[in-house]
Formats: sequence, structure tokens, C-alpha cells
Amino acid sequence: MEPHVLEGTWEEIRAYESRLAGHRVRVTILDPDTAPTAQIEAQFTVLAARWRAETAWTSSVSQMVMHPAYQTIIGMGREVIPCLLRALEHQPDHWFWALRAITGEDPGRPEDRGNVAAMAQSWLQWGQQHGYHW
Amino acid sequence: MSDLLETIFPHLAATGYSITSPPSSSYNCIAWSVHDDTTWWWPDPFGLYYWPESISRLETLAAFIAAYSTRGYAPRADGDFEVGFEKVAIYVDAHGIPTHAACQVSSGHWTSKLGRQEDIEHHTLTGLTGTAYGRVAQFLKRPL
Repeated sequence: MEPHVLEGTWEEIRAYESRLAGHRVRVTILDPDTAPTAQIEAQFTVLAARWRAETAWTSSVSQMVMHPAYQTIIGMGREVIPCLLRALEHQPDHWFWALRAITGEDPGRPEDRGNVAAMAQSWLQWGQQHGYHW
Repeated sequence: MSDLLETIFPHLAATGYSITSPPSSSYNCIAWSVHDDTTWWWPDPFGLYYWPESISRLETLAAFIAAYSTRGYAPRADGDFEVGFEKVAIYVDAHGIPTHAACQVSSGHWTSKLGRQEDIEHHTLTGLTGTAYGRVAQFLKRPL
């Protein structure tokens, strides 16, 4: 099994019990203030709406990702990944840089560069493979 | 959406335009100017977006001219309509960084994809000049 992160309540983690049996794991108790909460969802919703509105007219990836709302979303760290994946599933948009910055990974295929739908699909598959729920 | 459009681009209403597509996050102005409505082109340093192979991933006018050269475009002095050719105009901001590209259509007007918003046909390049896209800095052309 590849190293990966599972995150959720203890009851949610226990759902993976059979898959994790026999594997070495590390358990980190998250601060309740930083665990995925409705507050994270609400913050993401507000920031994403602001980012969409204020960068709607730009083609520049740099301008999109340097927008303060987008940078704030990146700063939210791994807690915001389910929100990003849900947003991609709902309507593919330019959350790839944020996911790349937060995770350090790029699951997209080279031949899919710039193909927004295919890039979104690659990230959704990555999310499933890494145990995210959104 | 046209009220907001005319706020972002204050010269647009006076110079004339029409909206010609629904919004889309799938392609941008650079792609649209080379008749590609499936890809987002940009030389981002992470290499997540499409940019022609072997062309520098830099946000410079020179890199954009080089990218267009892979599609047969060469620099040109003006945007006057010429039968048998199609032209592209590249806009830059106050720092000379490319922001937008428009492509000339057979009427002599121009067509632009506005970020993640709609395609428009605009009668003049001036219509999109201003705070958002800056000014036109370079014309390119290729044979039809």
C-alpha cells in the first residue's frame, strides 16, 4: 500500500479497518479548530465565490492563482482538499494550482495539459486513491 | 452579464460588440485566437497548462510571439484587415506582461474569449483596452 493520508472522525477512519489491518499507521489527533468543519466549508465557499467573480475576465493563470482569495484557500492547507475536489466535480475550474501547491503532487497526464475536464478527472481519481471523501 | 462586461471594459459599449458564446472555463483567449476551443493555454511555471513544446514558459511578449510562431504566425506592424491573412493582436499590461489576445475575423472585426467568460465579437481593439487587459503591443499574421 502506498503511503497516504486518511482524515476524518475516528468513526470514519474505522471504516477503513479491513484495508488497514496489518499495515503500520500513524495517528495524529487534529486540533478541532483545524479539522474539516462547516467553518472550512463556509470559508471556502465565500473565498471561491470572490475568486470566481474577481478573476472571471482573466486568461492569465498567474493572475488567477495570485489572487488573494485563491492564496488564502491554498493557505488553508489539506483541510480544504475535499472542498476543492467537490468544486472540481461540480464544475471543472482552475483549482489545479491550489491542489498542486497543497499536495506537492500533479496527477495529470502530460497529454492532458490545459484540458480542464481531463485535469479535473485526474484529481478526482487522485482524491479517491488517497481516501478523500467530498 | 453585459452590464458587468461594460464596467470591466468601459470602451466596449461605445465601440460595439456582441456576445457570441456562453461562458466556459475550458479554453482561454490564446487558445481561441488559434481556433482551439478545448484547451487552456498559459506558460505557468508548474507546467500544468498547455504551452507549445520547446517554447519558454515565461510571461513575456517574446515567449508569446514564439508560441504563436508554432501555429504559423509572424510579427506584423498593424492590425489592418488583409484579404488572405488572419491576424492576432496581443495585449499587455503596464509591465509588458501579456494579458489577452484577440483574433481578426473576416468582417475586419475581432473575436475574443474573455477569461472564463464568454466569447465576444468586438468592432475595435480599443474596446478591450484599459485596466483589465492594458493595451495592444503586438500584431501577428499568418496566411489563411
